[in-house]
Amino acid sequence: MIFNKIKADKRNLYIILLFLLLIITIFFAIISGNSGLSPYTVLKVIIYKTTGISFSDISPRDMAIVWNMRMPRVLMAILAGTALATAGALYQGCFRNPLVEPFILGASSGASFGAALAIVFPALFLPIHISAFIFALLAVIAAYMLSRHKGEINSVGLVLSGVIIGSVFSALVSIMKYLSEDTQLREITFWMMGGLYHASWSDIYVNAVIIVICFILSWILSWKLNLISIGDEEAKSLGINPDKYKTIFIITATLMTAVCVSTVGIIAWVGLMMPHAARLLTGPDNRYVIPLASLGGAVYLLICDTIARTLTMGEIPIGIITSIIGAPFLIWILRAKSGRLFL
Amino acid sequence: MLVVKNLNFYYGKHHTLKNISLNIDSASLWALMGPNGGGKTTFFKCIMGFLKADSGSITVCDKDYKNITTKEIAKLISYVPQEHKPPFPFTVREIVLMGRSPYMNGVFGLKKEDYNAADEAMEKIGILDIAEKPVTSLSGGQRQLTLIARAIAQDTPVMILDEPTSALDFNNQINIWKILKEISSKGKLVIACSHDPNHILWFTDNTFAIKNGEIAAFGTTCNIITEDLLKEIYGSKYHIANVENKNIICPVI
Repeated sequence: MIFNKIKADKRNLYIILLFLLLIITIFFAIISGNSGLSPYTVLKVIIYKTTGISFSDISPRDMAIVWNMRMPRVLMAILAGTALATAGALYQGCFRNPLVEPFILGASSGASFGAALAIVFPALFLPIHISAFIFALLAVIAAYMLSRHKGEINSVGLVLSGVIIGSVFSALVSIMKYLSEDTQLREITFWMMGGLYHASWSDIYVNAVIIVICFILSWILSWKLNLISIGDEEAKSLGINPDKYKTIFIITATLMTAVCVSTVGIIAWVGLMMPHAARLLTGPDNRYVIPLASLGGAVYLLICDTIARTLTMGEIPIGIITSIIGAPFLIWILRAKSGRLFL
Repeated sequence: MLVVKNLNFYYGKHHTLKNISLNIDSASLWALMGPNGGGKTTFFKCIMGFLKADSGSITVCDKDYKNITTKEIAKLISYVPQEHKPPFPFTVREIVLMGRSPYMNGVFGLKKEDYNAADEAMEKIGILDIAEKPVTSLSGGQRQLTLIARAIAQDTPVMILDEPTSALDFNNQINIWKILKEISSKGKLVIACSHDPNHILWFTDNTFAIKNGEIAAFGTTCNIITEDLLKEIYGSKYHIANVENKNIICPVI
């Protein structure tokens, strides 16, 4: 019993450490950039904006750079990392498959189609991110309805219908690309590679509300996710209705994924990788996996985005960075640590 | 404790359970025997609430299944599945703790009593020393013991086991039966189905048999298991011999 306590404390310690790391990364991300602001200036702007204490020597230019350009990106990276990592953990638990990622049910293809549609036909008056959000949701709902049979959700069927819906939307994206002009094609391609450069304060508000609510709900229900992840019948015998909770988890994960994809485009790897990294630290108990994965996702995306905007004079799409750093990590996990992650 | 009245279940057009009625009122170790495909697992699944019967009633500890929630069933019956293959390497302690889920309330739910109940269950079964090991690294016998510990932690009046010894070596099989006997001696109704009539004969107090979706026998094990019943259930001839004051069933080859 004492041993149990120590272990729990260690896991809480990981959460605290990762939270501190996030704070450090945030500060580091805000001060890095090409305009050569000193950390002191950045600190002054943040203090002024959050507490209202004014300093006489902040120039409007510095204020704009810190508060209107860097701050939204930093916050968006944190939100997107949290959303993708949490959604990944939820989907992996629901599907009882550690290799599932948040886009498994077609959210990414749906969002891409929505974005392409808005780019190619601007006359539809739909802003890109709203169109992307709608189609991401539509894709997942379609996959979900296809696999629902007599009120029961078959996990294999759900993955399969996700693949089908995903490929249909990919084909539709290709049609859009085919119909588009050169500049539009370029825009579609860039959108699909993902990036946080669009992030504005109004995006942050919408994302923050949805993602924070969904994250808290996931964390509250994380023990039930443990039960779902060991199988339908066993979950039932332990007093959980698996279909009800699977539906709740899928809706939660999909909302988070859709709102985040519609703002930042498709960012691969975070949702697959972070739950694994969290499991390596604490084991598969989702009460710890969910907070650790989302903190890890936030730190990881923040670092990747900072690299993306500072490595060269221009901007590198963040999807490239997350994949280049993420792929070797996942290969390492699969080869060296697979025994601790799955059978 | 367990009353079933006129239970019918159809898989599509196949009439799997035919008008089954039984009344188990003693808290002891019961065996369910019967040939493959005879309806044993379907019967268990109806009792567990995994499947909804087409007609008939089930009552456990005076609670009717008509208006019962999954959570309420989980407080009445614990279930040990045949085999457990978790995709994630939960530790033994985490798996046993899951048995406390029906009693959880609030945000994170698990209280100190729950941790203590899980540790007690593991101690009773003798697996406290492997509490921190991931179940994916255990042997089949240890995994079965983990699931039985989970059922004990669930603290229900009824415990159901689906072929608990099917994947185990000879010594582990005997161990599991001894443990089940001990659990039932403390006032719990334990129902285990088994394909080995010898085990049933040696360890259980009572037996019922299901064949072709109907009750083929019901009563005290030593009275029920006869050469005639074995022929009726399994089709071929068996001989019951007495070795060192123990009855033993051997096939007539």
